[in-house]
Amino acid sequence: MSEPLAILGVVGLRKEFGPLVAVDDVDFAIPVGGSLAIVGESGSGKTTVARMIVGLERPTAGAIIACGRDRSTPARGAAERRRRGGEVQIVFQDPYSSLDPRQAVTAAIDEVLRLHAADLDADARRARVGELGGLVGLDERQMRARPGALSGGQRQRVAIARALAATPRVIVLDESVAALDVSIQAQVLNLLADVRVATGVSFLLISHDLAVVRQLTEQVIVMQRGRIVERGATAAVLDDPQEPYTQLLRASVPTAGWKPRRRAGAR
Amino acid sequence: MTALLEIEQLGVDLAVEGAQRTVLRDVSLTIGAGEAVGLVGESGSGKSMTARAVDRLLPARATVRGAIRFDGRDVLALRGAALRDYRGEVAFVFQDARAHTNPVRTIGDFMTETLRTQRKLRRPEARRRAVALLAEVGIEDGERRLGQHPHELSGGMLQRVMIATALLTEPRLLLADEPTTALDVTTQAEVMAILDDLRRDRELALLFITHDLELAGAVCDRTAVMYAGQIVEQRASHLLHDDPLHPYTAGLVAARPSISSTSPRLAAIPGRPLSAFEAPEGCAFAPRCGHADEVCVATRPDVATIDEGAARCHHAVALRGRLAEAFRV
Ligand SMILES: Nc1ncnc2c1ncn2[C@@H]1O[C@H](COP(=O)(O)OP(=O)(O)OP(=O)(O)O)[C@@H](O)[C@H]1O
Ligand SMILES: Nc1ncnc2c1ncn2[C@@H]1O[C@H](COP(=O)(O)OP(=O)(O)O)[C@@H](O)[C@H]1O
Ligand code: SF4
Ligand SMILES: [Mg+2]
Ligand SMILES: [Mg+2]
Repeated sequence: MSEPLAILGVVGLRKEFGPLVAVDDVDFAIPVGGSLAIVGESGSGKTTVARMIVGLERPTAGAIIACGRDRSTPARGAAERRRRGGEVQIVFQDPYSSLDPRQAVTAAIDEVLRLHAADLDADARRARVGELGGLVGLDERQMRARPGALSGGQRQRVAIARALAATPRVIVLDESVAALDVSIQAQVLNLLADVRVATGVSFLLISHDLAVVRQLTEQVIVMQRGRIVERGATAAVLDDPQEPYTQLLRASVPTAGWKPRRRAGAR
Repeated sequence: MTALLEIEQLGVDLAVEGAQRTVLRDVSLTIGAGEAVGLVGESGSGKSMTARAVDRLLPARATVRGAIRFDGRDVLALRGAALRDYRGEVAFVFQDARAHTNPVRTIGDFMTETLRTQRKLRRPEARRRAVALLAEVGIEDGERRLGQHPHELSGGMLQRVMIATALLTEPRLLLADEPTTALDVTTQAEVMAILDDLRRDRELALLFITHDLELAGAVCDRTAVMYAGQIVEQRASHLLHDDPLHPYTAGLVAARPSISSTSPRLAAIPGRPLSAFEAPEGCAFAPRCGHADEVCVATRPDVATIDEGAARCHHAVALRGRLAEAFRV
């Protein structure tokens, strides 16, 4: 084949909520090992795209192809659901609500292994839990703790370790580092870069933070009111945005010497 | 510049899980009339508690040490009517605008309450002032907005309503506690521009709290950086980025990814931010600091004044000029 294989692609993706068209004719493809960002104003449909990809929402129209298989219709049976989970995992923004408060970290990771690495016996699973904990930088005390005893950054590492336990080919990160303190966010961004090198996983990153987008992705799409208004290499789009909305987004980022300006026709 | 607000060696203890724990330690900060000062730090560092102490909004059973003076008045001694008048002169804008409104009351009721009940203004006059202020923050159809409820307004619109409301009593100092953190970046830019304009037009002093150094620098002449309940550096905002005096400030700058370049790895600060009561003896930043030595671990550093700035670090003078460099990978 001459075309590079896409690990995740969507074609003509559309989602209606009653009269509202939340996602309108969205196309993109992430090459194997690649990393793509979706940016755009609040309500532009980013999370809805992510939810359709992981099967939490059913598309009104369009195709979603992950690892060469269509997943735009609901999975038929547990085996197919499991296979899909082994292909694409998602990490949400809120490290506080995405974990079971009664479950210790080791048990939370073990649970995913039981589902997605059924060939491992108890000893092998225990070893793998330890490995994953080490990969995301959690120490033994933290691995024994319940989520309530962990900081936000530590909980986000647990969520990432759980996603990795399914050995997915793609991880969807929906504002996964937005709530973190600057110093912790840098640790998690480094961790994500390391994981990518170590496992070849691809990222679909949804973020309002253009600096995070630049750090983590090679390609970017810009959404406005459900549609893609601009796309391209991340560096090119951020350095030389073409569409008025992308230009406004870029100009709104506070950097050294930035002065906020009022604009006409604000909402 | 004459000082409008003087915070002197402020210390605060709060009840945490049944015990009194220190959350602020030896915080000193001055704001001149019409001056904008940024207060920057990670979560739990004590930014909100500092602002709450100034507005006398600390939780019940808080223990307060030190002094706060506003225009010569002893803020910590104010009671009754004097405290109410003071709160008209020092207004507060919170991070989560929605949580500070009542969903069943109209914007009009919310905005004009203080004017009607405390200033004894008649309803039409209070509404007229509210509409005028809404126009100042870029909301032209104010009359209609007064009849709406909070859920009918977007986050950015609601935060502008909060700023307009804070200004109704014509305060001389505005305490803005992460007013744009819940907003997306284009709306944040708009709200910041409004704050900046208002401040200049009305010669309003501003304490602007944020975790974003660059954002503070955009509207504040001077920025104070907090860590573990203490101010660790104070400096002209435009110097913080390239000539920081404290290792923590340099670390914060270096840890942020850049919008104009990528590096394979970010210079992350190891460990996590601490609250004052979790911090060790000696320098609170020592467990995370690449320059820590025995002196740092043994004794708590005092504030050293360096040029126009100040830093709470034993080695600030020796490290000067090398901090920003050391982090550049
Ligand atoms: N379950 C739902 N029912 C009805 N409308 C919905 C539902 N989920 C999302 N929407 C609407 O679809 C649109 C897109 O929402 P979405 O959550 O995808 O936005 P987003 O781009 O992720 O925004 P943000 O940046 O604020 O997270 C919005 O108008 C939203 O209100
Ligand atoms: N109501 C409260 N009771 C007890 N402790 C509190 C309360 N509010 C905040 N704290 C603690 O005080 C410290 C400083 O908090 P805060 O000023 O809110 O930090 P920041 O605004 O910088 O994130 C933290 O350790 C926090 O957990
Ligand atoms: S006093 Fe020592 S540990 Fe503290 S910031 Fe300075 S060099 Fe680092
Ligand atoms: Mg979303
Ligand atoms: Mg706060």
